[in-house]
Amino acid sequence: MSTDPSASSDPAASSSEAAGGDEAAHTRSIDDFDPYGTLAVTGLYFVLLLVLYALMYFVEFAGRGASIIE
Amino acid sequence: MHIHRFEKLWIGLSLFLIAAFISIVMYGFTVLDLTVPGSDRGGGTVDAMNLAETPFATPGVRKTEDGEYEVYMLARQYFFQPGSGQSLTLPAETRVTFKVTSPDVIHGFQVAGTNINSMVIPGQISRFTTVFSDPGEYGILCNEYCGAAHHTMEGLIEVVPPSEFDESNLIEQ
Repeated sequence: MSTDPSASSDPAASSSEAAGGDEAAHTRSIDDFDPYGTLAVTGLYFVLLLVLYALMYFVEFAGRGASIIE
Repeated sequence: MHIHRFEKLWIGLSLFLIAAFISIVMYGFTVLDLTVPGSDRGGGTVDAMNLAETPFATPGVRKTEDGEYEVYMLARQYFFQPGSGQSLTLPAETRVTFKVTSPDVIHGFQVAGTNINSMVIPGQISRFTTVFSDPGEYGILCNEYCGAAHHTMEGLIEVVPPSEFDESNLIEQ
């Protein structure tokens, strides 16, 4: 373990200094990002799940001839 | 904990999907009148060693007082009685209640291409009601390994229009 005081300085601080002291990069919240692509893919996947589940149940199961009714 | 609004959206959608899946199955149970064979069907039990004293001694089709039909069937190594050898003839568009049991080992009773599928357990009567809406031939097969010749255990149900159903072959009550 180094005893050099300069080695224990905050690496984030030194990197922000290297980037010109842009403090705004550290105060951004998660709400500043809107992953519309992820939302679209997730939404499409959910719609697919619902449609295929309904198809499996109503067409392949319920629509398949004689069933046990009692 | 802070959650992004998109994440809230798809967490909500996930819960909606689960609710939708359960609702679809409940719709089948309630509106479509679909059901599964179970212990609450009133099938009851029977002494598998003494079937001679039960209606299973003369398996076949019977007519009930309310004009419906009952099939007493034995699934045994390695045939369905009735069903194998000579086909079982049933009327279409009529309620038919199957009562199936086994004198030897566990069998399966599946009408191929339909949703009729039940285990057949010695000592238990598998009871289920169905309606064949279309005349035609329906194969029965055992889907529960029951011995060396399990793969040969099959039968045939011949569904005929109600007007062509011959009641002279019914078993007397």
